[in-house]
Amino acid sequence: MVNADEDKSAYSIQTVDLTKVFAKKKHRGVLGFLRRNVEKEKSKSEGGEAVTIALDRVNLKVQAGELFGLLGPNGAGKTTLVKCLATILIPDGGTAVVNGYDVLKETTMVRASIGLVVGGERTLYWKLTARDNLMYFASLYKMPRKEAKNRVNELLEMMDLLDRADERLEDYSTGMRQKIAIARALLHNPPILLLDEPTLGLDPTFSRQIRNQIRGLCRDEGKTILLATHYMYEADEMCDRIAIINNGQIAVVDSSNRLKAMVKERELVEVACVNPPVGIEAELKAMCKDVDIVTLIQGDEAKSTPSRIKIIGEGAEEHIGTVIDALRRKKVQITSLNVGMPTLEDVFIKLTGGAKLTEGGEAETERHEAQ
Amino acid sequence: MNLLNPIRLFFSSAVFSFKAQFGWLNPPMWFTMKVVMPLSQMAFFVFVGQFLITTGNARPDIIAYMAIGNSMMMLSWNTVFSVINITSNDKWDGTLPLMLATPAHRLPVFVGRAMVHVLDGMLSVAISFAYALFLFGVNFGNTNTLALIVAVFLTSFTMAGFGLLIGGLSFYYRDPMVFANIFTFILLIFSGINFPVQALPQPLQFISYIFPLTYGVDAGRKAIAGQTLFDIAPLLGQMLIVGFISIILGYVFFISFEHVARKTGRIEAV
Repeated sequence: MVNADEDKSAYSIQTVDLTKVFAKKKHRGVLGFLRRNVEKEKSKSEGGEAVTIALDRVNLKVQAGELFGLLGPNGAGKTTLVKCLATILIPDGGTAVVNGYDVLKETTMVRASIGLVVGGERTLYWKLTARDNLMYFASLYKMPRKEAKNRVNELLEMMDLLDRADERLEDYSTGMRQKIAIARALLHNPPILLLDEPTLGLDPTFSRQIRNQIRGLCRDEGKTILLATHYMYEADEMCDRIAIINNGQIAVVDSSNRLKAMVKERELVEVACVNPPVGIEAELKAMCKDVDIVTLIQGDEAKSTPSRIKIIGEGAEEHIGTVIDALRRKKVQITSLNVGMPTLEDVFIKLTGGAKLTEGGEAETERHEAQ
Repeated sequence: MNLLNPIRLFFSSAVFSFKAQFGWLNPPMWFTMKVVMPLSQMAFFVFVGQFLITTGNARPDIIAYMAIGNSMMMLSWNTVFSVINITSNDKWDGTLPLMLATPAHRLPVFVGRAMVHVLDGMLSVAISFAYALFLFGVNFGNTNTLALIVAVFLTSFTMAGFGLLIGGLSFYYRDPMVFANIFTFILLIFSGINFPVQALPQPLQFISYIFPLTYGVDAGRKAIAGQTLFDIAPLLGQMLIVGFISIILGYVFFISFEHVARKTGRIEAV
């Protein structure tokens, strides 16, 4: 519970032991329902019920005016946390206070205090124009009509879409729709914005525009922003502080520079290469047994991003030669070598004991135990 | 208490619901829904009725009985199906979570959206009555127009409330249309559409009086036969009582299923 003596308004967002659990369901086909009861009884008799712990006693404090990053791979619990704060999901344990209001007891006040933006294609009414979408949501935010009209025009101008305001959203590009989604979140000028992967699926140009807008909202208008993302560079570039989340738990919270300092300069080697052969990761792990983490992050040939072999831990620098030789023997093309300039990704890998990200942000977990 | 907000929300929801979710209908689709479907259903039962007449198993007035009954039945397609679709469509559109994350009161939002379908239902009934008149020879010469319009409107309104009752299931279930289909056939059996309620097995007759449509169909037939608004007022009164109970229950269902969906994470399950 939030300490009664602690001023609830000291933080814009505060969670204490926030927990969310989902029941697991297996889809077993047409006749699955026949087997379901048998398996349910079996599961109970074995003392367990299949659940997914999406949030595991999450403790978070976001200060007013802060651009706070929530960084983790897909499935880490970022969206679940955002939805609990936005009152779309009801948590199963702990407490969450947004703008001084409890998400369970003062739901309406929480909803009036936040603007929510989610990534993805469909979050607006495509058959309505941009203006109609915003006017409708303005009515849901209880804005008087005249005020809503002025505000909608102001936001459309901010998003550089005033001249296309009366076109249906089905004729907009993805980036333009996302701009309208952000405009929608700003309609009632909330003090807090919850952004769940706002640049998901956008091209670099629109992504940059969106990021600039988000920075501006925090810097110029003093809004508190919680930004959930799996893009390391996005969190690194934008956020005052970052919480790294994995498997429903917060691993660490700090500024980007302090997080990167957790991986000492001599403790990181990164070799970028093209089309590493299958099995190279296991081979390198066997060669570098005394290092904490050896991991391969697959690149994407279609996007011309190379694969990267990362060696993280004490003594990593001493294995540069070993890795280079192994790759050369297999005639793998090496494109770059980085020693001692850790990124947030390296911090994430170190904190999660080898959990890694593919270029798409999916987490795969492996553990390499140092002998 | 500021009443302007809910009233404004009611009307804005109705207007935007029509534009956003009804607007997918293009002219060919609208033609199919409004013109072909009522004719198909009515024709089926009227021809069954004609067959029963030729075999000596039914009186000649069965044609009018069935034609008027099936005309009023069109209300259920618009009100029940379409009202259920309100939440389903929001789920598929991805807009349901964003809408639920606003401080708007649920009742004016969803009732406002349902009202579009009340009016649309009345249009469907009018088209069906035209079929009954011009294709199947039903006599509308004695109709009390005011009584008929009021009966159709109130039936449509109260059936929309029933739609809300089932529409709450949309929060939780992926395919609430299954329930809508089952419910429509239950109405067909129990609401006096093609045969009087008294023709049902006696222990089952009480079920008929749960549905506003039962009263509405009866009131519609009486209005067409020439009875005045005053004459059918008791029937309409009973229907309104049942209808308001279903609207209140519908709202309770809505809120309850919303809570369950928020608890289990099924708000976005499609």
